[in-house]
Amino acid sequence: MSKLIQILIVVLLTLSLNSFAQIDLCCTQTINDAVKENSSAIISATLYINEHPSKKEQFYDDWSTGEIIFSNGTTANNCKIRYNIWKDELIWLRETDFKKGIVIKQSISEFYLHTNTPNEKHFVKYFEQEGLTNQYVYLEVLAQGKISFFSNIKASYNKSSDNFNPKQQYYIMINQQIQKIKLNKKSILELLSIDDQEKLKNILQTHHLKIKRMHDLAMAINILNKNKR
Amino acid sequence: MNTTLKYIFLLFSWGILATNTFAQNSNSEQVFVHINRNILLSGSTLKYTAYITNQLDTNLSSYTYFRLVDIENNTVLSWNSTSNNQTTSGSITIPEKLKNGIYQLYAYTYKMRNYPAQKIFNTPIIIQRIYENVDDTIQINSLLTTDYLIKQTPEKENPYFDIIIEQKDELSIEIKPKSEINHAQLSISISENSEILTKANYLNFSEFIKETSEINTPHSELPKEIGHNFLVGRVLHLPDSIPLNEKLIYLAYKDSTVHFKSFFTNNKGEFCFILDSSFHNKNLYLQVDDNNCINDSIAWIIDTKNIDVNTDLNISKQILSPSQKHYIEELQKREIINRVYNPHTIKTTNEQKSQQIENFFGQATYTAIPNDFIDLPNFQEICDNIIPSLRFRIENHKPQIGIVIGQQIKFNDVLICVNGLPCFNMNYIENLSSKDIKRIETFNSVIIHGKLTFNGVLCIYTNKYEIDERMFCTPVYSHKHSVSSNSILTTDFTDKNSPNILPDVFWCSNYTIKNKDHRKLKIPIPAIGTSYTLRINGLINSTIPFAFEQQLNFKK
Repeated sequence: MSKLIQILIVVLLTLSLNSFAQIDLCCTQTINDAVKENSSAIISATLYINEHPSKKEQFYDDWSTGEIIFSNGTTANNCKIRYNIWKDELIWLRETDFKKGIVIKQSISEFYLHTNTPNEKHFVKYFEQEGLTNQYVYLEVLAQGKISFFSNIKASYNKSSDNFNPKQQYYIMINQQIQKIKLNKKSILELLSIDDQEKLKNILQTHHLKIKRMHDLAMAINILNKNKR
Repeated sequence: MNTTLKYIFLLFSWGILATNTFAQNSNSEQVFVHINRNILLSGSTLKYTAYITNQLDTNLSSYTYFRLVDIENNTVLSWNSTSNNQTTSGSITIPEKLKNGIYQLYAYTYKMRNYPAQKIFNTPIIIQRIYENVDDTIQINSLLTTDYLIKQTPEKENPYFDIIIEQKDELSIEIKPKSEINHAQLSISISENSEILTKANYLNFSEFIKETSEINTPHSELPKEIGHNFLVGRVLHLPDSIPLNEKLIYLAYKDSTVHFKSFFTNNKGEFCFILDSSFHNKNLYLQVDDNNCINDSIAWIIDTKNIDVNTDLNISKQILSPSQKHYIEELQKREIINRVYNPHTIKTTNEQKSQQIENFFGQATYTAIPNDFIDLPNFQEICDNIIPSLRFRIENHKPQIGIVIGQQIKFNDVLICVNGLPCFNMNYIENLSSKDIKRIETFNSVIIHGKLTFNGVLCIYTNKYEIDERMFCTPVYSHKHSVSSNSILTTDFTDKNSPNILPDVFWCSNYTIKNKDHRKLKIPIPAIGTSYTLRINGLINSTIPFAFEQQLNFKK
């Protein structure tokens, strides 16, 4: 009987050992780790040195999590980024060693900031040609559709007062043509067709919106775009 | 006795637990392939449409792997293809080198690699060399018994389409949606019935998906390749095969700008690169970051993404009947005539988009064209005379290149690339003269890239623009990363002078139906043969597999 039990034990042991025999498909954990790290692995940046560490006004907002979409179609998700409106640069915080870098502007197509406000902020890169100025600038997308509405906030540094003074510039894009505008009726309506002018006026009136207020105008254009679909 | 019984009980429980511990029941991703025919001659074309589906998950893999496996389960041909909206279509020419016999075509995604072999789509294919005599016997293994070849018969009635077939001077096929179908992706084939592998032709898409929808995998789940694919492997130090752990590995390809991937190996020497489409169809080079060139003997083990097929072989010979042998012989003649007269052209629409790849580091701080200056015999002379942002020195008998950043000169952690690839062999760089170099770019700032930090970057592009083996002091692994793009193939009947004599008289890899639209297909009556089968496979509303078959008899 004891021999039988011994044989049974050996059989069970063999069975259980074979249950652990696995096809060694290489590196599942390594792949999972690579997938997690892939977002930050594709970001290139030049080292950033904050010339005015105590001045938060040079930035759009505090550090936030966001996405960077590159020109080659890849996306870096959940990265810590901050938009410097003085230098018009996107700063990335590498969380492994807290080094900060200016993300290479040529490689960026657009980015999103998940700020404290309810909606995420969306920025696109635009090539501005004005007079002798040819440069890439980041525009905040306020409304997007057949009529798109953007703003660009620039901060200038005043040495005498040691302060940053922000200034906002607005753009409207219709049929891929982008124009700088001021927040007044004349500047905006002259860009629209007669039909759209009437529609916009009605929307402003119905929803009690003011054309001079950026968010109101953005809301009105969004409604106009929805109705056009 | 009681102690013994307790011991047995414990062991038994452990055995059951071990068997079940890693078992995972997942509603699974599956691949089904519709092919143009099962009997192919060397040099002829296998056309396919593969469908990737999962009943519950719309996030599906973007790459499908194909393996053609011989009677002894050796992979003889393999390729992979990107998918577009759950389907991937393409064609592959059967190489001349393949021996006569039966092969098994497998199709799977990366995630499916640990499925049991019987849950992975596979279909038998007979290959015959076009200029060789047909043997009287054909070798089969236990996977190809008659039982295996019998599948479910296809559904004759379907709730989705009215398929109206009319035959007059030409064949007309109309596919009319019956119910509300938002979207259907179909593939259509008309191929001649052969007497060989007849049962395999009835592989039913819907039944296959039903049978394989639940997979119990004894292993942990593999991730999906969505929008990217994995290059995975290990690097070991020879001759003791010790893993090269915590080592930085670069993956790059020859290009006129710099963009690479990097990875730190883990304690097993493993690495994984996630490759987007910019790495498709490039010769990739894997190398270890080895500034001191000490790792002169290493081995690379790369995961080939194979699957474990059933190893129970039992190879035997099956005699071909005279009619079966005659059919293959006639097929050889028809194929030769077809190639001589070159009838239908196959319309191919490739969906590959061209990619403009940006340089990682943006605009170079300084660019120099050495040919604009006098000939300089080595890189030290070049640095001293024409590149103000570089410094060259010999330290401990080793050449070093430093980059000027601000007021400092940094010699450590400078990244040097030649023709797009990182280069660690300073002796090679030292010997480059201005006659060898086309262009030099320097990036004079501290750069952070992923986990890495560089004190500047130096990029050298040579006149020959080739990868010189002397660049490397450590063994490098070179890998052609071939990925077929989705190609839409349709038989073209514009050349009315050429008769339709191949057994696959019609192939449409991607026939899309949206809402209630329907069209008529018009196909000339085949010149040879009377008995054909119309097969329509596909996906309805992205999740419902569809299969239809109908015998067509052409009157002569």
